[in-house]
Amino acid sequence: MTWLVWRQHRYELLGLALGGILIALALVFGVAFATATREQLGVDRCQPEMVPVQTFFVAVDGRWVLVSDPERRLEAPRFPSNANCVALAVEAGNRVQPFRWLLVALFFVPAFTGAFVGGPLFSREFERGTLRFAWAQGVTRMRWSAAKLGALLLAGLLGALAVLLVGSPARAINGSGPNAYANFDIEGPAFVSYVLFAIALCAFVGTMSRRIITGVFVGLLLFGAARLGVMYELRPIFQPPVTVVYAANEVDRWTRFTMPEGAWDFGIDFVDHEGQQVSSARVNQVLRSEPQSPPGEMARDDRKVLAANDVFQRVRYQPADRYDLFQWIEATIFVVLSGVLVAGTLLLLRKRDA
Amino acid sequence: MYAVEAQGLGKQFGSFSALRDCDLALPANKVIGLVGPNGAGKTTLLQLAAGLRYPTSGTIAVLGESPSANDPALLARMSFVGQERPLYGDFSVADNLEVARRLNLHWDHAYAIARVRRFGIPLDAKVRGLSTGQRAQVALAIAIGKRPELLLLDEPVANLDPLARVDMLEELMTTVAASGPTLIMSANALADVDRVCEYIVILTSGRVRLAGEIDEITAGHAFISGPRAEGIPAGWSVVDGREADRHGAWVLRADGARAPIEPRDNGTIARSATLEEIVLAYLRSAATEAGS
Repeated sequence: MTWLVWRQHRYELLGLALGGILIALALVFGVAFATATREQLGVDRCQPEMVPVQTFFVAVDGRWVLVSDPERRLEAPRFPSNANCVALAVEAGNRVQPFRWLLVALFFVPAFTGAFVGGPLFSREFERGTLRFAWAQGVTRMRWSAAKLGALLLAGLLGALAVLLVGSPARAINGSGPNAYANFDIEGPAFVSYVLFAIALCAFVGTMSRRIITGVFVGLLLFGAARLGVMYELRPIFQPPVTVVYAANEVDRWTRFTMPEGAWDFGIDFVDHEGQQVSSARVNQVLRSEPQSPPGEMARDDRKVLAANDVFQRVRYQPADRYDLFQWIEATIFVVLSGVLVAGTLLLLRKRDA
Repeated sequence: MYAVEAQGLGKQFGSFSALRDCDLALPANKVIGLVGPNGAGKTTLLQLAAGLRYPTSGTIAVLGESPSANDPALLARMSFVGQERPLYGDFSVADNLEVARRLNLHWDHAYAIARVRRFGIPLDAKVRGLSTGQRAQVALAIAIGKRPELLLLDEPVANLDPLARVDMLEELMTTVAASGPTLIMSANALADVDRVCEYIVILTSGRVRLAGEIDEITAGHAFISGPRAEGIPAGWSVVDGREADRHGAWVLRADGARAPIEPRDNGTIARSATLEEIVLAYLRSAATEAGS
């Protein structure tokens, strides 16, 4: 079987393994290039410069007069501006743009790998009738299908592992963002599991439908649905998010919540004292119905107004230190799903008519 | 042991019965022809025997074993070539032979190569580029190269030109005579079967109409034509007949032991029926049944 699998699928096998290694090398190069570029431009050493304001008030005969002085002939006040640092960061970003595109592409790599490698794996054999040739030889269906699917999964695993070994290229190439979870989908064990899942899923759909086109495109759609479903519905609750609600007596306009560094911030919403979510319609209704402060006084404190009506702001987030745990949970989900799909594919091929 | 033995064998495709209530016991070491119109169930029967499809009812045993078990030992003992002669189209001829060499328990590589060469088929040619006849020869070389005890061929001469047809059949006969596998082949042209087969199975609309040794079948049937008033001789029943005005022609089947047909002196012809007449009579009677 090894010979046949190699003879039949050498391009896919090489493409998967070498493709992964090439992407990994490109990423390593991208990381080095981005680091060097930031170093060369001094992005990380940049200090905000003191910039003279161009428009300011001067006192003339006891009255404030607005002066516009683009030529800077007057002694204008100066203020610190990080515009110079932003410009440097943007410049550094522009220079590494090709690698940023590579990162964007990496998001879609598992889907297309699965569709074009997994989708036709068995459906092409059905369409061309070649499995009637293979199955008429002295090889059992189980061995034949396991060898084919196993080889492609293994090649996909090797390719994805190569990418995994690069670590966190996105952080180096894009510059560090505030959210530790920002690059969740293109690195770590989760990425490897997507590649396996995509191949297994598309192979299954192709076997089920016996049509290449269905294996490829329906496989692609289902993969997208499964990925987005887990991403939006499950990943945020892999563990209960950390929830912060200030008690009524703590709330005032000066209360500030500081999001821990690297946290995955789910934003602000409103709850009552039992923790039940309060709709934004209700929030608006409370704010409209309560009287505004009289003119001349300090504006009312909306948070106190809401608290008085049993509405509290809630902040939820996943702390940065759960990142690795979440990666493994997500990877486990997709590896288990892949296992189920592989079993399903083998069973279908064993039980169905050629 | 029978080459193929079926009991109550049936195969449904959705609501369509490709094969039903099929009882067969096909003897080993014979050349067996499956005859019937398109859609009669010939291909389905062969694919069930080859283990490519699974029955929906009844049982089938091939060389005494169930093909559904997908047992490599049984796979090694039989070869199947489908009507479309499946091969890896983007592989060279040599690579297709190599696949067979590597996947089979027994494999006569020298024979397969020699056979392909004998037909002037270049080994490095892509199968996709071969003519229908060449492709059929490569598929057959692989099937025979397995040195099977049972060779299942679905329409081995379909789509071949008349000359290639004759060549192919002669080749087959030589092979069978030399290495002696049981050969079961389907054909929708009776002439192909008549020329080479010793045993015949007539299938129409998924049912077995007649199965037996050709010699016994021809011996058990008669053809008469003459005035309708004469009636059918005793000990015979009508398979199918053509009647016009006061005359008619009938193919008859002997009920039990063959009763002699008394010679008549009124212009009646009574003789043994040819295989072609018999087969056509069964096909027609099945068609009439379906039509009525």
